[in-house]
Amino acid sequence: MDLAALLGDQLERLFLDHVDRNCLHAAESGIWPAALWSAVEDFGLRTALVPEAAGGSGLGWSEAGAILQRTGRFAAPIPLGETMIAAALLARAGIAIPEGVLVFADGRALKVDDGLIEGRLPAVAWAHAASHLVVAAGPDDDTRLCLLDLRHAEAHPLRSIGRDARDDVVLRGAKPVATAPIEAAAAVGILELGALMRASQIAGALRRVMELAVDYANTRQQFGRPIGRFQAIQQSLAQLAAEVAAAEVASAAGWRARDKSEAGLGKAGFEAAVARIRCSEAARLGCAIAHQVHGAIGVTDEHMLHYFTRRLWLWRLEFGAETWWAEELGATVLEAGGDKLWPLLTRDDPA
Amino acid sequence: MAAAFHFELCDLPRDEARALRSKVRNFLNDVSAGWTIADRARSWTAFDRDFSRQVGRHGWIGMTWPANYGGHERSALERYVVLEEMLAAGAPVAAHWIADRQSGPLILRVGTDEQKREFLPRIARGELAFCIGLSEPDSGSDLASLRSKATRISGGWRLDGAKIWTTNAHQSDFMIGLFRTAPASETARHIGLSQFLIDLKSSGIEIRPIADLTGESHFNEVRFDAVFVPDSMMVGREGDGWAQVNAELAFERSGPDRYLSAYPLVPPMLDAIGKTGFEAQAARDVGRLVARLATLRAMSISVAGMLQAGATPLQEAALIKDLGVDLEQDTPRLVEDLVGLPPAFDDPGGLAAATAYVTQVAPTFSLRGGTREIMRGLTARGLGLR
Repeated sequence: MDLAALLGDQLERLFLDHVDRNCLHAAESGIWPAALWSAVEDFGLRTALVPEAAGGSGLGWSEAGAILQRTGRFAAPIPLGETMIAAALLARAGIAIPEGVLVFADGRALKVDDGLIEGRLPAVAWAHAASHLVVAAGPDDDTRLCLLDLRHAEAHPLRSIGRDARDDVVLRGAKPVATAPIEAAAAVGILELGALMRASQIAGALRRVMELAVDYANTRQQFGRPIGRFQAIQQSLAQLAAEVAAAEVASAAGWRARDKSEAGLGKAGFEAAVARIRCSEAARLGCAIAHQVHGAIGVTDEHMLHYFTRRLWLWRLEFGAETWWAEELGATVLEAGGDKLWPLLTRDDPA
Repeated sequence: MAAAFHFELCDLPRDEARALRSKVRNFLNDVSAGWTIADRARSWTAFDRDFSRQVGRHGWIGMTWPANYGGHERSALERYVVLEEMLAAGAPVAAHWIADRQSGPLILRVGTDEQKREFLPRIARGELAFCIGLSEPDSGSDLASLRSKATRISGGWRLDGAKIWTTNAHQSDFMIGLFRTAPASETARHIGLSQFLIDLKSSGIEIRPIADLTGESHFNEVRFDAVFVPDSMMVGREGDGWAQVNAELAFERSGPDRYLSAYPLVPPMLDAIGKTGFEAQAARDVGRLVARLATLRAMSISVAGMLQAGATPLQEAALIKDLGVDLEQDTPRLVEDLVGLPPAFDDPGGLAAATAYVTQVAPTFSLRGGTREIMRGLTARGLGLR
């Protein structure tokens, strides 16, 4: 078995043992799941995406996508994806990776003055649980990847529908621990990585939501039979299945493009946008169906469903909301003109 | 719960696909000079034998078949490149489409050597058009209830009954029809069905085109009155018709023709919206449309990869068809919304006419190849709900 599959299986077993309703409830009350996190650290997952030469496991982005899908499948209340991707960014820029929880954010709105960073990063996921933050900041001709120590930043806790920690991070003349030059285009790439991370989590959580709904439909009896025997319910669940399939394929295709672009085979922005938009759409449609099938029990606190659907609703909005990505992609396509769309859609093997 | 469906991403073979795509595009560029938007919107319902023969001369029909049967021994994924380029350009492919997609592969899989030698080379040259005889006046989605029957007689079979909704029967050379060769039992309605290769010039066949809401005729009713079919024209084994038809449908339900039917409207729509000055909402709608298209393409190529590997991905094909026809059916409305089409038009080849055409044929998108409800029932079965 290859390393990615091995890590994935280990993670799955860990989540099966640890991530239950109690764990999710505690995390949403603000209690950091320390045991879960340290088990994940012990697997070496923090540096899974760091090249082997730099001491990591050297997994590719597509393999990371499969791991992130598992975090979504369990709604695991830890910033594993955030940490893995932040560490990967640091390693690729040649910056030493600090211990602990790492997060990253789109830093293009930050101001850099004489090496000091100023500005506000809205709703950063898991900022107050993290020791360090990775952003790309600076003018186009001098964009740098920056590692910031979050002890020197203000984190204002926010509330969200997902109830996982989100904070506004305010930087006032913060001096990075380390910086390294990167291309201005790579700064957009950081936003894309966040979008893809959420896309994979959506795909994983949505499959779980489908399984919960199918189980419920096969169990809940009304009119003398399981409601899943009724064609109306079957047809709805089939639509949910189609959304799950679309989310799984779109997110995987996004990571595949990322792997290709790292190998010098073009830019991955198009596929990232596609993944983001399609997975978010799937989350919206899929959650509605799952709740409808569950009836009133699905909106109770006691049922597991909401731990997934609330996160699905949140994840649609992070690292650029669904509508933002749709507008960006649509504008690009419109500006290029009708003749350019088909070559764009088929560009994995450009003619 | 067992995984009901699984899509593994599949890459088109990069170098082969690139060279092939470029050839197909050049060919289509050359021949498409006179095609209007409305012509392109007809694509795989447009029957043009000259065009099909040209495609055949390029080696783009029967691409995956063995060379000794006139095929070209290329992969299913290379074939995919040709199919999607044809559809995206709105090429008039109806005269070879069904034979290339379904009839030929069926003959190749279960036909006799004699059938293969007789039919496959002519199909590959773009010279033989096929239609599919499944539905009957009283058997639509409930296909197992079909009653048209084949009775054994000296030297062959006698066909009686009627097929309906047979696309392009009035222009085709042969039909592969499903007939009852033994009575069904209460418990096993799928038994006793067999497939036959039927020369549509045989005596006793009456083909009646059915005018549809577009003012054109695509469908037909085909009546069989004591039509003789020699023994040698049975396809596959007697009584295996149901299983053969189902395997065939995985090809029909997952190809690029299941999400690109309305695509020829999209490029002219983008141009009509304009390169500058569009509303944010228009950009969002376009972005969502493109995300759906790109995702369906990845799903469809994934299934092409499974077919290439010899699998029969019925569950995955049903999911693609469900999502694909939704997209196709949404497209004309999107064009109306974003372009602001007028209610009436004088250019019969323009975007308004093309959109009107697609609006009228769109209801069939979720009928052909299995209705939406049948597809979703199939998915529900895969999910463990029935």
